[in-house]
Amino acid sequence: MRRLAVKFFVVNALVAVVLTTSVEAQKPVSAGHVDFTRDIRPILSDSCFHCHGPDESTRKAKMRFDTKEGILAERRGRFPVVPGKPDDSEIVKRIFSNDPDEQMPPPDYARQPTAKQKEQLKAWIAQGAPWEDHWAFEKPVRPELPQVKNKKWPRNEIDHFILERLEAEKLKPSQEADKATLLRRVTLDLTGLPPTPEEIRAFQKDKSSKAYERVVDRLLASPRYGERMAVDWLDLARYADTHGYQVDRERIMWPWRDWVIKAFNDNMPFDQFTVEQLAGDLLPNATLEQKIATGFHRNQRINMEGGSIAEEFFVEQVVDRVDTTATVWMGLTVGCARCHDHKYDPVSAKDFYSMYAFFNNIAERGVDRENVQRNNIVSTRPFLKLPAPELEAKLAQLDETIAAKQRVVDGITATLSKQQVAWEKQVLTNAPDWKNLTVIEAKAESGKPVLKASNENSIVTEGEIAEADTFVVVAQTELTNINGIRLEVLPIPGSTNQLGHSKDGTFVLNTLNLEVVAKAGKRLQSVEFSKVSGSAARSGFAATLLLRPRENVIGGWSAESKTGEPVDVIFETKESVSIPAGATLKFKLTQNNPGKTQMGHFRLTATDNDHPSPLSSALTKIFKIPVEKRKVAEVKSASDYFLSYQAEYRTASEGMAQMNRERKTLDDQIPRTMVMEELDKPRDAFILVRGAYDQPGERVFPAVPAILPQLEPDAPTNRLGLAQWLISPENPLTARVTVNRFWAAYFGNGLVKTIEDFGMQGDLPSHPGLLDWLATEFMRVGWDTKAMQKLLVMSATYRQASQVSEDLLERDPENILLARGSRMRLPAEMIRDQALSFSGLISEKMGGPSVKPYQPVGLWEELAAGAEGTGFATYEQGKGEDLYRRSLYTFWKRTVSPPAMSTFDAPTREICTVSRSRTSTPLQALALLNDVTYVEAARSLAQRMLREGGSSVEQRIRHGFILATAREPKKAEMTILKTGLEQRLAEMKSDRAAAEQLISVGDSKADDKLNASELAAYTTVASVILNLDEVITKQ
Amino acid sequence: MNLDHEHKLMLTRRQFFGKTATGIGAAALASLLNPNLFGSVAGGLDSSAHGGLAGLPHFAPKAKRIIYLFQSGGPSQMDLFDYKPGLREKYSEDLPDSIRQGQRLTGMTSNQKTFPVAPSIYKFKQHGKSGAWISEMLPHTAKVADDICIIRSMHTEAINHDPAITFIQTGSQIAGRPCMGSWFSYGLGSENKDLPAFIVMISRGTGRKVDQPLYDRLWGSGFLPSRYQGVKFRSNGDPVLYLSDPPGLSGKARRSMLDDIGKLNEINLKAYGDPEIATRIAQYEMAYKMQSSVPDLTDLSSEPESTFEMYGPESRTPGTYAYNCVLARRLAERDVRFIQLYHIGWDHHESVPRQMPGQCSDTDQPSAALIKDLKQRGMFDDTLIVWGGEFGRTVYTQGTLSKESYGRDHHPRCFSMWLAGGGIKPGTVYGETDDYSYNITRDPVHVHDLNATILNCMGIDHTRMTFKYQGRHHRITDVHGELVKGILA
Repeated sequence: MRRLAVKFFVVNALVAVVLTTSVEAQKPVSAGHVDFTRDIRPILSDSCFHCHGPDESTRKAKMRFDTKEGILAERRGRFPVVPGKPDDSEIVKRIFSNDPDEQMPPPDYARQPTAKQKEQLKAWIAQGAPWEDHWAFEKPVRPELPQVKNKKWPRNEIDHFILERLEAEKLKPSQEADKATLLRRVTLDLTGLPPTPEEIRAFQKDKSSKAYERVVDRLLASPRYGERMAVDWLDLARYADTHGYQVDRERIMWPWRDWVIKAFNDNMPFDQFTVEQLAGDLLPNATLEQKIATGFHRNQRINMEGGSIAEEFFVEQVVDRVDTTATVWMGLTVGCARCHDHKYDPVSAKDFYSMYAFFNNIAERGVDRENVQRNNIVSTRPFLKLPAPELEAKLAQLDETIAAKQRVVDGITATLSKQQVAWEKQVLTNAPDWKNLTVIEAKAESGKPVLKASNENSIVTEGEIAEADTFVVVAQTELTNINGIRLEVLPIPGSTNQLGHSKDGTFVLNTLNLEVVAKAGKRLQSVEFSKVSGSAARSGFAATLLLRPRENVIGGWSAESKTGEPVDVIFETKESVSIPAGATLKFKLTQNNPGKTQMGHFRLTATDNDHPSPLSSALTKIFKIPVEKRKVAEVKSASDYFLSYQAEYRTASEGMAQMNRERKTLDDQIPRTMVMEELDKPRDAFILVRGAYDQPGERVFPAVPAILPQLEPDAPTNRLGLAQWLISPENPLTARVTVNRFWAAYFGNGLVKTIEDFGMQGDLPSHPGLLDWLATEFMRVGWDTKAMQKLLVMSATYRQASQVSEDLLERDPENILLARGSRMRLPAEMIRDQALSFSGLISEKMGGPSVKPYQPVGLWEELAAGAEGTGFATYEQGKGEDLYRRSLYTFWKRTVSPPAMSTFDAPTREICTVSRSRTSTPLQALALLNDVTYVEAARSLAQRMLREGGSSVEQRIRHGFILATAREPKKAEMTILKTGLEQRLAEMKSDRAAAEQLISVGDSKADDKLNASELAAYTTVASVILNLDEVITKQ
Repeated sequence: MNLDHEHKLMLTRRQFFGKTATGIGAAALASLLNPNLFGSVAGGLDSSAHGGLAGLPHFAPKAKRIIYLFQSGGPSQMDLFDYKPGLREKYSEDLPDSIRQGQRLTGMTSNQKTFPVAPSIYKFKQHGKSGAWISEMLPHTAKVADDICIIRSMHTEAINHDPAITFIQTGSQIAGRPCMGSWFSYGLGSENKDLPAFIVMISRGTGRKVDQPLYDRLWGSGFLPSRYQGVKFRSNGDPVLYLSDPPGLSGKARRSMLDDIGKLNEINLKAYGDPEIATRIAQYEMAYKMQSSVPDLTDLSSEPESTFEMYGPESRTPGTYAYNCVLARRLAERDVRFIQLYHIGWDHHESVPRQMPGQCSDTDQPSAALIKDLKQRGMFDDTLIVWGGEFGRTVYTQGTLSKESYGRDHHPRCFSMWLAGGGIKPGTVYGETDDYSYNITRDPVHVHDLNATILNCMGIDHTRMTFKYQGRHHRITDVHGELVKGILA
């Protein structure tokens, strides 16, 4: 029966929607009259502009219908439109023609006008073809308040406009929502959190006419207000905690996020809010805060992928700034003009790249591979360091120590350098003499192959080869001290160039260890090497890997011989090693890579030359240049190299490298935040042909789109000028676009439904007068954001109940006319925050680095393709308070969005998002039923029910219900909840272990004073409550 | 389900009916009145058993569903499908400028002084009646040569992984557009009632253990409502996020809670009259159904031994490509519309011969098995299978070259893919490249062309499945895309 009833209802609703003309977005239709803006321009835009619109390059027959001049212009003796004479108008002839050669739009064009639209076009021309320029490009004019019949209903100006339309449509507004619903609605809307029981009681008790206003003022003053407002702005600003492409490393932008919250809480006027974010750095004597604000345009993604072409991504970044600026402040989609003149809106490619010219003067490269801080956190230049007094003090102290030491080192260097020329000469001429060793013993640890020394003291493997092995060689030398060891790998006897036993004939040496052992068998010294140089290595097998062998890491040196010549690797000892008489050298050569990668033939030799390593070709070249002719860099490399061989210098500078590393570690701990910073000399800007980064065309200069009012003549032609232009009273767009977004946050739809598009393809305003009134009001009150929020929520329109009759649903399914309150599912953040709030788990801590709350295990790792353990690939879930912070502080990784947010329609934050979809899916049900977050919240809510509710079952259920819905449960509801509780309580009592399991979900501990079975049963009731449609909805 | 969007769907339907000029026909009306419309699942998830756009498919589809075997990283075409015997003589010669034509290279090899040609070390043979040349690395694929259509003339615009994968999946290199699976969910809705319409599974290659990562956006819905996004079936933890009840909660208790939620929601529905509440009620029932349908689906214990023999030994191990192929077939049987596998590990910049064996043995047998299996079950003809990556690889070596080893950088100017099943001409080799597998010499297939053709197999005219966003009617093929008629059956 239950299902049937629902089906029946749904069917009705659908029939209603389908079979009646639903409300159109614009003014009511008066019979017979055709309105240009409402009826005609959309037809022209949809069916004609593609070939006869603003885009010059694709314009056909040189005709354009997006301007009045164009549509009236003569073309070969004919006129597209002759006002008052439809039969003489070419447009009419063409659209009614059945001749495929004549017919317009051409038969294969996808968007044909309907029969009705054709008639409308004809009627419009008959009416004299009155032309209106696009409404959104005309400066808003403050309209008179409309006259309404019902004088009692309006509470403020907004209501006059809404009521006027309702009266015209013969509809009545709904009654005011009951106090509980209204309080919950406005509290969620202004703070993102539900009202507390105390707040509910206080409001219920307050019978004065000011009661509601007092609530609104209290909410606007709450620090939670800024957090709530910030969420929408973060979507627009594509704020996230990672770089966004490919490996998607962590970045720091939270100082900017905190700036936004504070700006809302301080009620920073929107014009200032705009200027500081777009151009705070260009303000005279810009403060630290103003610079942080410019992070707005550094929130975008930054590519770090190896091999990326910097110029390509430089362009992407600048383009993204243009797109985002146009969308956020102008409500225009200019992205099309990146490749060609816009098809529908009067934005040319030149306009686009003139805007681009405002944003391409940042000292950035387009890709970033350098500025990786500790823990793989990246800040891509330009960035600024936040004040960190303690760290700064430590740094200053360390700098002093470093400077003092440097002075000593400098002194020694000055003395030593006198010997440099002679030393260089010796290195160039005196090549090391490699002495053969006498092999005493050579064996493989595996015991498998025999290692045989030949008469040249080279060693050959004979017999079965192990999968992996370590060779031990004991030898004697005639030298009394050694400075270098050479290992030569030779072709296996009988082969031409096979050096190792692996299938492909290669070898890999993992480590070489050397010990000096006294005649008596006592180990004298384990030799340390300072330098390794080898023959050209195979890719990924550099000889330097031998210097830093890591445990359990299979890697090492490997080289190939094309011609059969031996390959070699030379180890230079850190200090000269003295060899007492009779002592032996014990070598250990590990070759642990699987696949028989052992050498098959090798030789060890030694030298006492104090420069055993081969001199690099670069240094050989420099050493041959007379000192006075060397360039600065050459002088430095030669000197550094020389000094590295001087013991006195090494002793004096010992610890310097360590101190410099410490310095970097300290410096890395100072939080950085990315900002905008103008280059001294602006980069040139060009139209990029078809948007391609490598196809510059005509040069352009910073300018705003030609169709709009221009910059003041004395305005700076930089970002500051652009920002000031956006908030100028002459700008027709910014105030409208902004109030429309405010409106949508409370009412679900914008007054212009296409919140992201105020262009010709966008929807017309449902209440154009109201939009203009709000826009002019916003400017009149000095862009006072809080005042506007107050205005909206104080209106009678906002306060209406959201119950809807079938008739009204049929008439206005989308609630465009606002004959009722809006009923909407809460955004992701509010759903989680409210559960944390009424369960008492929530942390009120504001700001700071983002946190990592519960998330199913493995989400980051499964996409990271083996890069686990690198910080950006492993999700390290937070602890304690971090699990219960408000959702806007959740760490946002763009390539793997936090699932608790994305399940409820939060965007990926890769690009500017103006509005989120509001969906209803089974995955949401699963999340609310089973996610640790909500199971733990249910248990905590259950604890509150048991501890605070009272002693009876009804009292306890009532308490939980009010916490979540702000209202009293109905009798029928109480019966359902109570019966459910009793059923499950019986079960939980009979299976205490199960009850214990259920209440131990989550990191917070269950209250052990409560009976486990009872708590578990109440947990199920709390879970039922927090899953209710009403609870995740603003009613 | 969102009312806004639903309303738009309705308007679309109305426009469609308006255009047919016959008004609302009885059959169409019946479908509009489908009571499931508000009450069932779809795309990410929602859409109902009907769920898609009116007027779609535009024409009779050849394929009902797609299994897209995406090979992430960019498999090397001249080591697998694009046989170039002449290269052996050109070993280590510098790539002629006449071939390179100054085309851009990635930052990884643009500084190389020379571009020595690295011929494939693998042997090729002709297979099947079609005589397609296939590498010895793909013996199983070779056996189904007459079932597949190899395109050797794919080309793309991007040269790095992130933009290139984003491009082939969404038709745009820049983030923010819906992926193909989302477009299908949106346009065609779902065929089944208790599973999502678009499912994604990920596996790691054994050829290259640390490789390119993937991103949520690849199965994201972009500007389409988020319910159309792909649902990831995971190999560890819950196969679908939050699927399992919390510990300690019995099935009976869960059912009783759901009953309470339903009853309470109904009281509120009566009070408020908002159809969204009815939708919510239905979604909870759907969630409950998924809690049994998904574990049932991922439980392979009912599969006969022969299945695992066909798909290979790895097919018993959750998380492998082979295992995902078995799941893909099970999903196809349940009428999931778009099944997408991502196999990581094809980015072979160095030592191709060391990395290729693992990747090939991961994917060769299971991919071929999928074809055989679907044929046995009579589902091959209405399932479209796509195999391929985001770009190809360079003929010249990245890093050092030897007779045994070479590396290959990214190459967008030509690469190979294969398609099979519904709508595709079997046993075909399409397109040609020059002697160096560097430039296309015949029948180029741009990514937009491929996508247009895939849509065509599913009965969709790519120019007519659009979504208006930011004032523009977007398509997955942007304003491009030509049908590749030569590969269509």
